[in-house]
Amino acid sequence: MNVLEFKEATIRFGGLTAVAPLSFAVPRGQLAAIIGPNGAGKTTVFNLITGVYAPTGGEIWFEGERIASAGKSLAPHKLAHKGLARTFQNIRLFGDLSVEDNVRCAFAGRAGYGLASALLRDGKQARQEAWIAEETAELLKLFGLAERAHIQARNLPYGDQRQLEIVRALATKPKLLLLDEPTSGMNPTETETVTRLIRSVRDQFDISVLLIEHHMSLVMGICERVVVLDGGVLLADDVPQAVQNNPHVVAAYLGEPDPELDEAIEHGHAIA
Amino acid sequence: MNGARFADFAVHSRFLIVVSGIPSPVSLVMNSRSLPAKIALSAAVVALLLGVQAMLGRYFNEYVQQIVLYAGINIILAVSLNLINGITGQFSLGHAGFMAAGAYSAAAFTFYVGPQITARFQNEAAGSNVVFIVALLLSAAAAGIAGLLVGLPSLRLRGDYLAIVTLGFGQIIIVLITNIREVGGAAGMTGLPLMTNFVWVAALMVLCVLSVRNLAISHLGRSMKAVREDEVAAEAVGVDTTRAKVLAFVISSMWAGVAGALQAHYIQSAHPGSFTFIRSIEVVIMVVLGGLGSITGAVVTAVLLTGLTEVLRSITGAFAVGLSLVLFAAVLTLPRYRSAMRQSAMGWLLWLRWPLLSGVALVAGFVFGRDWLEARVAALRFVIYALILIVLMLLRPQGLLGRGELSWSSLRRSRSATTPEAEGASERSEPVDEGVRGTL
Repeated sequence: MNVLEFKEATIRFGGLTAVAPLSFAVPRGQLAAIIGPNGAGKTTVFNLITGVYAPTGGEIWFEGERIASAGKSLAPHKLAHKGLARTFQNIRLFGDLSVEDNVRCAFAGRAGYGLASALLRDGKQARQEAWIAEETAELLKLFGLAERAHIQARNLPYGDQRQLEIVRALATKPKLLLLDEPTSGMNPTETETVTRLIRSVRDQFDISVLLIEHHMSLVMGICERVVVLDGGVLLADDVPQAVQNNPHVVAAYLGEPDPELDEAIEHGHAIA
Repeated sequence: MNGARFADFAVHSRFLIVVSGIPSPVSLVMNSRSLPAKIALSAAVVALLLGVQAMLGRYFNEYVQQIVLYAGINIILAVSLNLINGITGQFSLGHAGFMAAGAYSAAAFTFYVGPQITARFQNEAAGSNVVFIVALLLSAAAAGIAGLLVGLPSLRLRGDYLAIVTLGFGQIIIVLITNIREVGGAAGMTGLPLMTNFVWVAALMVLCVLSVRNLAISHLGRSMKAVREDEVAAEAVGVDTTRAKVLAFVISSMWAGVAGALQAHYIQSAHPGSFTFIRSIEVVIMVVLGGLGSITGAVVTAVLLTGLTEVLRSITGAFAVGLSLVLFAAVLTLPRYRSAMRQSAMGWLLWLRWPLLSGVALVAGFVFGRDWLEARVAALRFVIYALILIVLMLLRPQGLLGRGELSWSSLRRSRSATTPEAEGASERSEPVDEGVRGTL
């Protein structure tokens, strides 16, 4: 069973085809990566999945349910409630809020009480807030952020900010976690830590992970599947070893001329 | 300069150290969970308010009572606007418009329908109270609908653009009202019954502060703060940003409407001129000066600014305000010179040079220019008012309390934070909203 499936999903901005009809699937429980040179359309694919953009053609399915089709898509917060969580390429924390409150904000979809309870501060509100506080504390402890729970998020060190973004995403109880360049701007040691973290998150939380990454060591080291994009078309969709030896991928990364790829981008179809 | 440091100053007085050690009676009241306790407490509060009202009537003249009532109305306005401008981070300049919507709908009700309802009651006081309750509900509903209408464009606009839209909307309401002959047109509506008194204002003020504070500490309030911080990220973690913004607008304007109704039934008239955007800006000033997002900050500045316009009527008052401002500035700038002061006595001089200079200038002006100023105090009043705002903003651009809250536990925290080993802790971060959670 696939957690995520692209069926010929495509998006055009005016005359520019950012993602040509693209089909791929992420089976449940898999740790997959999307790679590709700059401008390949990786983040656009993320924005399609999370409902920031609606595709101009094709369909996107999540957990056996169609979440987007030509011209329409579920709102991002509804997708989040369904189990899609993401982090951002440039960290987007709630800077002025405490670490703890950043995580608690992610319970918006599961808070379980309404306006009346909130205004009256009744027993239901108390129970639910206690539960949220407990879950938050547990998550923060798990990721070693418990001691910094009351610090403003903007004052966290860079590495912790990336980590907090992942914790916040996990607090929505996702089925699929999308990580947009989780190691960008990190040194090799930090990259190593994040790599281990991603794998343990997948195992412990029993979720699927799709990530965009430039660090090949991370991609080849832990990912079970690699989807390669260039110019908005699918170059390869395979296990890491096969992708590494794919001549089109090598050409795209080294910038060598590849007439077959040029032709594919021209006509907007996949190579693989 | 953060809220903790401000409280830090407050805590140096011995009285506060003693008091902050015992649990706050306010927190006992506000944190009670069970329904019977809540009802009993509400009854006690109303009884207390009735007592205070009797006292006010007996020992203070009408002028003082009027200032107290205006302060209460301004608190409702500032605290409710804080929900939009501070907590949700949207910029609204239309609060006076919502006030007008509430004031006029309530006024029209008490004026046209009220007498018929009162006539059916044996007891006239009971009848007029019933009429007023309906009028207040009506004002909240009317202003809430207006807020909904303005909240909708706020989904697409942010920052300056939203400010312009809300400003325009406020003006539209005024122009509409000016053109309805039934509510007096440009001349306004006069001859409204006097219904607002201290108990109504105080009780509704407490309700307003409670509702905004309860909202702020709920998941809905967190969603509003998430919208303020980063809308895209908020959506991504499941916050319905549309709902959060519209909810903030509706609840905030409902309270503005109630404040408008209270005002109209106190001055016994409603006039388009009292709901222009100048009034909106007055409220924005209270919110910004108190610290965007700080509920207690909005309360404090609403009281201070209401008092300030009155105090500035006399030259002695202006002088007193000037001196306290100089003292305030001296305290606020103290940390900057702390290390210099440790090194030499010159540090003290450095710290005190501006406060001393301006203090001397003030005293000199008061002693030698008194007659000259006395003759012009009416004209100078708003110049002085504006100058004070400028000075306060320069001294504390983030507002009196920043985003923190003034509370029992924040006092206790900063007391422990002034011990040497915890000094770093108080510098580390602003108290985000812990203050609201446990206390108030």
